[in-house]
Amino acid sequence: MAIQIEAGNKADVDRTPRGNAVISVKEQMQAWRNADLFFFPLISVLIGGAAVFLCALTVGDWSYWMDWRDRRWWPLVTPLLLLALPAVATYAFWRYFKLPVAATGLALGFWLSQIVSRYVNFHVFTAFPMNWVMPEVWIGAAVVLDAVLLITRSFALTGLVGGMLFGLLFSAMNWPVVAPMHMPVLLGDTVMTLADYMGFQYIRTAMPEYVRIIEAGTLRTFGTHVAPVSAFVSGFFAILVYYVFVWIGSKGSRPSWLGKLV
Amino acid sequence: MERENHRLVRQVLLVVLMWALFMPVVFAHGEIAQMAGIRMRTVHWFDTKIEPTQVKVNDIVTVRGKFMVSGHWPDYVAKPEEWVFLNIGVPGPVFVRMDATVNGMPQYQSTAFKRGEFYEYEVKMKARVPGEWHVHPLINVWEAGPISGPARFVQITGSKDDFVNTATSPRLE
Ligand SMILES: [Cu+2]
Repeated sequence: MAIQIEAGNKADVDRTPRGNAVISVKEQMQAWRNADLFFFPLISVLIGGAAVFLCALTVGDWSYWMDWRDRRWWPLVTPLLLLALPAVATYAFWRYFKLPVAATGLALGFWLSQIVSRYVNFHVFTAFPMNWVMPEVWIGAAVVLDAVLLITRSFALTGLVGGMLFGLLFSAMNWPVVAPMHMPVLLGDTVMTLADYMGFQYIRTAMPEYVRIIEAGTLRTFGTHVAPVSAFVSGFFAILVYYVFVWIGSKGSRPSWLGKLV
Repeated sequence: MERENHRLVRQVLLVVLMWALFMPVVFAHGEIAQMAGIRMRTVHWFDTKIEPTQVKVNDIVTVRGKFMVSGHWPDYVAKPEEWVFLNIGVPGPVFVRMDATVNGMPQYQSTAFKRGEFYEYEVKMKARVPGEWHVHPLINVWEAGPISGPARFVQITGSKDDFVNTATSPRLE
């Protein structure tokens, strides 16, 4: 969208385009900037909203409730599913506009849409406390992904380094939201985390306690360090997810299939 | 032809109007909506007491009663010996559950109920959101779904802003 203009000779720059509301190159630049200012937030919120929908379909309860955020599956599955759309958008934005902003813009739009969704659907409509249904944040991980693309200027390297970092950083960057929920509290004589406690207190009729017992494995190869191991595994898979969805982006952003459709 | 069409429109409108006017208002649901096999051959609820039914925000409402887990549990319903959870059927967290016991023992997490056995339960809840709410005792059975018991309407008055909820951290002594 922001297209670079090669300023040739002076006469060329000052020439007035005919039959156009824009009468100088300067105004043309301004028009492009205005279009950018209008379209970027719009596209961010639109694709971000699509990512919210995708997240609701795939991550679902892991994303909704604090007591679902376990240390094994949540850090593994969530970043993998959240990386799909940014990878598609990254292809289009980098290939056609040379803008390394797709992931960051999408993460911002996602966060905005997600906060609105949680506030209206979970807090106002069904009365759950906001800290209990806070959405995950991945703006930081998206910035890192875009920064790697900006530095390396290569999809292959961005997948390798950025994808790995995306998976690795996700759970660490969400720790400030999750950490207070790990505080120990007493229910009778039973010690629970605050997340478990609130899960018991704030009644969810259709969500019995047993459905969230998902960390069933007892294999402890790496001792107690389950979350970092999950994050590493997530990083490895994220590399693959990034490549696959950049490829899908390369197919999807070509307008040829549109011609066949219409 | 046009007259015919008009008559048809009038007839459809009349049917819709009659349907809207004479449709009974449905209050009860849950246990009554369940199919007979679930209602009569899974969990038998009795002596259900949900009281008091008029409370202010922060007041305690107790759901207590007994149930018998049928020995003739249908073959097509997942068995309660796997995973069950004693729950409450309410529209959202309008109450906060403070305590739950089955046969006098704490029931904070999921458990197993044996077919042919008899259980007594008690759930204490603190009123949180003002309104009139239908409160059911309920048992979630893994892979089978919720099996709800009889319900009462509980009216909560006051303001949600007055709601207080505190937690105790374990003391290291
Ligand atoms: Cu009901």
